[in-house]
Amino acid sequence: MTRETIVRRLGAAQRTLAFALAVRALGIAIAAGTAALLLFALVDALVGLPIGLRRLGVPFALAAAAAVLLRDAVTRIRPAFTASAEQVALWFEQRIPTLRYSLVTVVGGPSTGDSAPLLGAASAAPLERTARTAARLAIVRPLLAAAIALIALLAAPRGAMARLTTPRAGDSLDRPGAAARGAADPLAAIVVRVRPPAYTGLPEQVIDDPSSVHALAGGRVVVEGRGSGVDAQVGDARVTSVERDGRWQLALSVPVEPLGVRLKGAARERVLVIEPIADSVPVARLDVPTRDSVLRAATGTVVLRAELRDDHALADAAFEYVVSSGAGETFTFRGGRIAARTFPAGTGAARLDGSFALDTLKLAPGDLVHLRAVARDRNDVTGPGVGASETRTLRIARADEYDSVSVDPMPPTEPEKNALSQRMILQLTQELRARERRIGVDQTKRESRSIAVEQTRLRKRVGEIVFTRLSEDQGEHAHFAGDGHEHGPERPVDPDAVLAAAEAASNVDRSAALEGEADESPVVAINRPLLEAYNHMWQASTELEVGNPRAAIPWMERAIAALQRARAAERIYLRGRPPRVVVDLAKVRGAGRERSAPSARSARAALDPDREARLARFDSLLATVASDPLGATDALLLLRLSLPPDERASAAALTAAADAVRKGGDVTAALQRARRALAGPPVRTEALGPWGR
Amino acid sequence: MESGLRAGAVLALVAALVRLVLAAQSGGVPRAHVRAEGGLAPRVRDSISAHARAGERVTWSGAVNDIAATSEPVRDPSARTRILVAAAGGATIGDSLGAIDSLGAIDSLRAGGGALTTAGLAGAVRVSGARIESRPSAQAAIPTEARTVSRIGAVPARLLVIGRIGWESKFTIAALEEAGWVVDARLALTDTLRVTQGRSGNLSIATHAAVVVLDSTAASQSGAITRFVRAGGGLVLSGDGAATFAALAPGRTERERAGDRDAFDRNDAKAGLPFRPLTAVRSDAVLLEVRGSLTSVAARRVAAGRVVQSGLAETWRWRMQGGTNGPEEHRAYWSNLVATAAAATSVSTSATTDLDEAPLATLVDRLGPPIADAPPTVPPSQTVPAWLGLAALSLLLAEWASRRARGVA
Amino acid sequence: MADFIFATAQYDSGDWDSAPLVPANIIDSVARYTSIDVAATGVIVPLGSRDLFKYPLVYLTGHLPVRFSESERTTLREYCARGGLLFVDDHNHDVDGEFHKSATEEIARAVGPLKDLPNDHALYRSFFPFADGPPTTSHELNGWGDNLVHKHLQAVLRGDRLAVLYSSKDYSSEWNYHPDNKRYFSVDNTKFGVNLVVYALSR
Repeated sequence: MTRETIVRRLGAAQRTLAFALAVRALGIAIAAGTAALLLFALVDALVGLPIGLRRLGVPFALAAAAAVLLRDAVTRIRPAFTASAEQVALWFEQRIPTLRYSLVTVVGGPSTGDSAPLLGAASAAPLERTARTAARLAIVRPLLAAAIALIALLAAPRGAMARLTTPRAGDSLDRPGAAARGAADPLAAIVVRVRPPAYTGLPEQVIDDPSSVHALAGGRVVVEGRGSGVDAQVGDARVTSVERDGRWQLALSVPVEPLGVRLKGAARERVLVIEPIADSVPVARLDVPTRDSVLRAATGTVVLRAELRDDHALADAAFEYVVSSGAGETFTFRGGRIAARTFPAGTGAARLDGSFALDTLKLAPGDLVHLRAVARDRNDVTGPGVGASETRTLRIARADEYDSVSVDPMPPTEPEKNALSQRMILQLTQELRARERRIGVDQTKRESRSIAVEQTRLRKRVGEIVFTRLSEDQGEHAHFAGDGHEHGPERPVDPDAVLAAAEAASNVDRSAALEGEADESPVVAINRPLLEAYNHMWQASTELEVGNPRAAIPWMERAIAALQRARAAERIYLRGRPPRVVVDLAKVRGAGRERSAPSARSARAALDPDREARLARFDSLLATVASDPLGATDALLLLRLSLPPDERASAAALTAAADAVRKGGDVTAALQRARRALAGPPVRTEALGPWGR
Repeated sequence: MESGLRAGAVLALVAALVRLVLAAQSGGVPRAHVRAEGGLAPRVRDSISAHARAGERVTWSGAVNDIAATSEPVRDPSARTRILVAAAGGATIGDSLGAIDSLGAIDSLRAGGGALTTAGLAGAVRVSGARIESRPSAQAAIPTEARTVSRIGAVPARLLVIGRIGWESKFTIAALEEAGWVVDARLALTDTLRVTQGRSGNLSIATHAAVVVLDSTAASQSGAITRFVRAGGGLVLSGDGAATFAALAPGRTERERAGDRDAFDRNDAKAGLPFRPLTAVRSDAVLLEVRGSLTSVAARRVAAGRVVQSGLAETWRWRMQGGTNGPEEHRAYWSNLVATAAAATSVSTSATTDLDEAPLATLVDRLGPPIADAPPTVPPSQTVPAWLGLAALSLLLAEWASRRARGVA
Repeated sequence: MADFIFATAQYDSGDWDSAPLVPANIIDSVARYTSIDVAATGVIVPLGSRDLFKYPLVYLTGHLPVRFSESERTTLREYCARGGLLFVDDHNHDVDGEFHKSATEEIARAVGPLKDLPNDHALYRSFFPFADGPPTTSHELNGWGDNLVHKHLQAVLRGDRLAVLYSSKDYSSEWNYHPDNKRYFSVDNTKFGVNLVVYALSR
């Protein structure tokens, strides 16, 4: 046999050994991983691990197996595959002493191992048999360990493994020993399945052993446990559980008010609180038109756009309009819907677009159009919930109405398109301010003065409108002497008076009701915001003329605000200022002829008459926390149910305290919070008063 | 030489005698010395003070910060307790469930201390003073009376409110009723017509805690109200009602002044209310609230009763126009005013045995002031040192030996 | 300042000033029958303004649809929670009308749903006795509007106190005349207004 043949035989033996090592490593990894999983299962069976920890079980086992595999791959398998022929020969030399290093010498190279005796000795070595024996020895035990681990895994209770391999809420009833525990106390552990109403499209939620459950009103709550003989007292009604396969199940509807369900088992009772969550109505936001308008003519197209949103599912939406026609005591109304649309299931948000032509409504001067977006949700249990947006009003100006800065020639097609050009002037000024440093002082002054010209033009227009109004009749509610009403004294007006009024108007308290001063003409009162705007524009143009755009900007912003108020004032005072009648109290006091008999007043209830009783109940249950934690838990939950509906913080604190007491451990902090919530915050006084007992 | 020996012995004996006399004058070395860092538990303190009273000399030393605390029920239907604390470095107040709140360091001598008003106390209240300059804090234990007292006296807290019909009477009664008071009302509608509520019988401290007079319409009942107050009832005067009860009121009211117009926007409704400053305040009156240099609320005792006078006007605006907590503050204001005046009754206390309302003061009272240094730790048997006696004996023996040696008897 | 000032609510969406003489008429009646320190004229207060809280009784009427803005809704909600009373009267006297439909919807949204007020409520005994509940108006009897005589007023209650009182009986038309003209009536038809004011001031 040649040297090369011997080297080939060595290579084959090497591969055999290396594969054996790989199989060995695999066996050890399987055993380690399985053992880790079994350890998790054992701990879970003893103490009941939370779902978060159980989710780590399989990854932990895989990690353990991978760690073992990696370690062997690095330390044994790879070296086995990459060992040199000499190394392999040495390995055989150790196991076949009779070789007396002949194999190593032969493998060492032609210069050292080509002698016939050496070749003969090396050829005769039982390399393959030695390799097979070593491989067998290497893999037997690990494979045995892996087999035992796998058998143990298969023999473990199915539920125990399922809790690790597919952990899910509600599998607490599958814990090893749960059946036995359930037989002794069917209320020891419960699982609650919350099924929201079908219209929401929400999935079922499963909760392990809760004290209270939050669920949408109209949904269903299914309570399950191991064992038998469980009933529930729901108010005055008694509900019997359905039993199957060693488990009991109760199905309840979620009411609109919080409900305490007394679960009654053979050994004891337990309280479960069902807290309803109200389905919110949809939210509709009308984006276009952006504001109310007074139009000169009932022509043009009104663009409509709204954003809609619901916490679960929108059903349908539309724009609604109401047209009011008439005057005095006689009005007629008509309405309709525009761009009605239904939504597919599961639509939580949508946009509604539409438009209508004013001509189609056949509006007359004085008519009012109210517009809004309305959306409905899919609530078929307690609803449907209907949400409406803000309402926009379009009014058609009457022929004899004042020339008004708020009357638009056509419907607004873009936000603020027909807004006064004051906004454009402000924008130009702001842009100039931004470029000021770059363009230099002289250029800034030139541009500033050109903006001042526009500002002055606008100011004069506002002044003309006010002056025109002040010179005209007061409108359809004019009064005359001897008409039986008291009137305020009338004053003549002229442009100087307008300017003086503008100055005074700027200093008026804007938060005051729009009543006017006693000696002020009604028209001046209505136009006070315009006068303010006039004055602010004057200040702005003064600053612009001296080349100070920065100082002009605040005046422009005030002018815009005043114009907005003027627009609102004009819309509110549809028919001019109402007559002001002053009653002569001295004349009429006590003049009534009719006899009266005022009844007694009835007392108003205290805000929370039961608060003291609740505190006393809380104090008394504190004494039982250590000796009877389950009873104390139920007492806390019943106390929570006795709270008024708006005591949400106290309700949450009591529920948390009940959970803490039931789970055990240090409950001081939870009880402290609950007691503080019930009692309200203490009041501190950083001084001892001089008045005591 | 024998004389010298004799003289030496006499000197040693005299020295021993002097030490004895001095020790006797100073009370001797104390039998017990206590280090009371942070105070002593009441039982330990009482045990040691028993020894002191029995004639044994007991001293103590240690750094104990001053603290004193007491509690009283708030005399309104809320069943709250007010815990008053004086502690220079501030204090933490808690009960069996843990800390409730704390009071900051009381720097101002005028302030004197602080108070915490709360409901729902569990068990005894403990007040711990703060550490000052590394000295440990003391703890005060005070009785909790309020939990055993849910009413003022044993009857519901009933009031009589008199005024004319209007927003002030409406919302004042609403605030008091919402706070849990039971209100009888007499509201004038016309000269002859009234809107009434509740009982119409005689006014008595057996049935009513206080009377609230909102304006001058109570003049017809001034006699009955005065008798009620003198018998121990409470009287709250508001508006122009004080003029009718000038003999009882703490002061006179001036003309009405406007409140701060911007105060409502600042969420300080009380400052926005108009008010009539109290003037010519009697010397026995106590000023309870001031606005700048002007008095807005004052109180005084009249015979067995109490009279509280408030100069605030249109308090209903506090409820309607006040900030987010306006209604609650308005309610608390009126309930506190009435509680300040309400009739005092005997209050039962809980049977708490481990009381220690002022630890340092009690310790000083029982054991005297602390000593600066620890006394010498010399047992009494060594008050007269042994060597003095030995020296005296040796000298006498030597003198006797010398005489014998000379053959002298 | 007078103890009681009659306030009329001014809202954005409709003809809030449709009954401008009602305030003076009620003020006149209150002065005739009681000693209440009432202001000689009423005030107008925007419904969305914080000024609303200065007037714990507010009157609202109109013919046109009522659509509150968000600020009006929020202000009204807080106003009622603090103890204010809003009296709403449908000047159309029409339960199918747009004022009624829109106003009741807006009130439900802002404060709460309206329910029939029992005819033995304290409101009907607060000053003059109305044993049969709310007095009938001439508009009801003349067949105006919905041609119905409404037996009940409607209300939102806070406890047992009125927060919103709603009328479909058109008291706005009934009371919208100059108080000097009372001398022409044999029976004062504004007495129920006095009940409302006395109730608001005393309950």
